[in-house]
Amino acid sequence: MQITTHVIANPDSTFPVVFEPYKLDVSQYGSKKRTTIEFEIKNVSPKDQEIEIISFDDRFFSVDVPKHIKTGATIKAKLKVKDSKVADSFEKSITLAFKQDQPNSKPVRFTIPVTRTVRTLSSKLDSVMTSTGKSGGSK
Amino acid sequence: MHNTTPSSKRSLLHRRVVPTFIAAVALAASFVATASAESNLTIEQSSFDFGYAPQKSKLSHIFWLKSTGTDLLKIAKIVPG
Repeated sequence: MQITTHVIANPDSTFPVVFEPYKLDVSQYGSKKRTTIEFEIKNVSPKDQEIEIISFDDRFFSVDVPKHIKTGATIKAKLKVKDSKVADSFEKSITLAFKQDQPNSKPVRFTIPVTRTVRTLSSKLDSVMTSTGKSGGSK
Repeated sequence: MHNTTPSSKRSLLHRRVVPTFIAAVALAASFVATASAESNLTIEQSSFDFGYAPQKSKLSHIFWLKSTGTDLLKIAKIVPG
């Protein structure tokens, strides 16, 4: 008897990239400012990918994403809430397009949700939470 | 047998999502016209493709509407769909 096997690197991945996390939560609880979040994009496709930012609400935050990602590589991207929106809660999203470094390849779009909830405690309670190191949690 | 690697879990999250979500804004605008002036509306982008997105997530996109007529354009109703 002969058993033939074929190894597929990413057997269930129909997408060129994987986001970690796939939802961005820049919530702030307490007075400790939280305005940035980093996320990773992993290229699980066999080809290098070009990244294009298609859409996001630039009144609320800025996004820093590299323009290229090599096959098998993981890159870091960063989102920063605008100073004018630090006190606001919002639900937005970022749409990115990934395209292989080849002519005639169709871009694939992904949208990452972005949420921010701001809850400030009363100053007295906040000072207690800060002194005990419990402020700024996200749970 | 189920594959329970982290990559398969991530893929499942996207697999349940409708691959392409197109949000089209349909406007029911009432035009206020006079004898010499006429209102007009220009929408450069009437639909947007979000691509793949996590299930049950809230997505947003800004559509710009431009009043290109010579008279007041009153937007009576906006129907997303």
